[in-house]
Amino acid sequence: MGPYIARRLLLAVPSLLFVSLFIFSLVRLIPGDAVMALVAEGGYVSPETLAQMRIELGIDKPFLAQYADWLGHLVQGDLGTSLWTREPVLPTILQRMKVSLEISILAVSIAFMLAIPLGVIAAVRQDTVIDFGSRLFSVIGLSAPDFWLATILLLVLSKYLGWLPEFGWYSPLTDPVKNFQSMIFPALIVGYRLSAVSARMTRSAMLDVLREDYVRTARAKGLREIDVVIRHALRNSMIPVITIIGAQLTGLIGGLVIVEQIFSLPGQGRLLLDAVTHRDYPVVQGSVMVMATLFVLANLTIDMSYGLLDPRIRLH
Amino acid sequence: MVRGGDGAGTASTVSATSATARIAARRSLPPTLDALRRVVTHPVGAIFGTVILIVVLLAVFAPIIAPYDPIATSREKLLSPSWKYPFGTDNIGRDQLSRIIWGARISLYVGLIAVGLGTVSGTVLGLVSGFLGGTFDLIVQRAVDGMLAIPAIVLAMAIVSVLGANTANALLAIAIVTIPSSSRVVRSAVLAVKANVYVEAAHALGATPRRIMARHVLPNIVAPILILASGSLGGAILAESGLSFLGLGTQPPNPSWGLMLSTSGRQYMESAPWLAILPGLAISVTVLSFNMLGDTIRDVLDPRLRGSR
Repeated sequence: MGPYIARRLLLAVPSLLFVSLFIFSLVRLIPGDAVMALVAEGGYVSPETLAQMRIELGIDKPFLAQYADWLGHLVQGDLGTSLWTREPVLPTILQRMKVSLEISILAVSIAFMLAIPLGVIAAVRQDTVIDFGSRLFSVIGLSAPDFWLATILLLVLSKYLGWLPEFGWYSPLTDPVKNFQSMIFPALIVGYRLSAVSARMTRSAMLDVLREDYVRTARAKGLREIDVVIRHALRNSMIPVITIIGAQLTGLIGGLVIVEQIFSLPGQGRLLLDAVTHRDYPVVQGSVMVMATLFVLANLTIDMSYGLLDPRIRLH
Repeated sequence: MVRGGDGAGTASTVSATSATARIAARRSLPPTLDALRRVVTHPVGAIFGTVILIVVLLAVFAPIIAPYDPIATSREKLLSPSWKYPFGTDNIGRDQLSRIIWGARISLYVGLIAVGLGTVSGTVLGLVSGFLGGTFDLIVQRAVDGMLAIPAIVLAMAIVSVLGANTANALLAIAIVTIPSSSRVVRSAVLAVKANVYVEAAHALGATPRRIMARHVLPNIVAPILILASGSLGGAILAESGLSFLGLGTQPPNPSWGLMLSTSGRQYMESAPWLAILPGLAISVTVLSFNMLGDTIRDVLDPRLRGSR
């Protein structure tokens, strides 16, 4: 396992280097330059301020020197200073990431809790009303935009049930009840979207496994159907489901941007949206780098979990 | 074919002959038309294809079909659905039905062009990378890995932050976001086709790499490219509505479904819920139809899935 992880991490280096080059070049592609674009809407700015901003953004040097400088700071964990709030970028991102991470963990748990039972029941009761219902659940989850689902949820809660969920963020340590109340609805929306694809994948993987010889053997030796399904079939159909959840992690972040905006949660998605709106390039660059790194690490963790699910898989 | 001596036998011969003739006629159809015939005669393909046709007609003939000017304001504000305004009016008195009809134009325009641009660029990249192989392939694939590690919406937002927020830039951002995944799919199809004997034969006959790619490889990877493009359309329309919802796509007063939801839809959702419900329904039905049509095209074109569940 050790050499495998080392090799995977090593392979990730050129990819992340490319991400850094891409995101660095992107900001330098702006017609004029980033500073002019930044101040274009703000009226008169003195030449001294412009020069100072160029130095802060590091765009007063040749391209390669700029990139080497930026990369040097990046590997030391220095992502620069926000042009909007004047705060260092990395601590801000880490602070906001806590909120996003909490929603993500809740959302992935909800996705598993919805998708697996639904996919299993749909496969066991193939071509029945339950199966049809489960497929409808997936199809709606894949087609309805999350901002619409969130709006409808708020509408139903406030207008028809007379109950407005908590907005804003409360620390889980000081006020766990309010924290749960403010997190559960955004997590439900993101979790539902995630579960749509996973339920479909669970159903199709279960259908394949249920036709295997060892399942027939398990039934033939007189095991109860529930044991056959849970102990023999489910575990063996989990690998594609976990893979698909891993592939959707980037989609999860897209969902976070939307729900954090709708439910006024100070997470990473909201930080990025504010940075994009204010053209706060150091925060945009930093957020992209942190998210890409997290995504690479998450996928590595998922690959490593295959060995736990299926002992035949040994990663070399 | 069974031949009999009596009348019934003759009838069965005639029907068998006409069936053979039909099959022969089908076989003589060019592959693209034949695939199209199979898509439209598939029950799911027919239903959702019809919905897409309606959306396309609404988008194309919006100036004729829409009862009112989509950006003209009036004093008839926040009216609930009625005969005069079937989808009601918004907070500045604009007809919601007309805005939804015109919104179809923006969604389809962005969806089709972004997917077209992204798929063509992804195809060229995947084709060249997969065909040439070696160091070039290695470098391109590490770059693709990197791009795939950036969440699509984050990448689109970063691009929009640089280019500025409007419909054309949202389109470009969605097209760029489509490139890495489509190049990966095309590359793997190219690797499979490259191993065929006819490619080796073309090499042996002295064909140039460009000619082999264009004449021998590309025609044989049309099916995965079509599957890819049709499957991406729903996602592209969702992405446009998402960016517009966040204020990073189409700008007011232009009618985009996502923008309609984020402005009047959310502000007045309690007093005028139709403003929140209807644009979202329009997005969902359109995306659902594209997703289902994409699934049908995949079922029809992918021989491994033919006849399966």
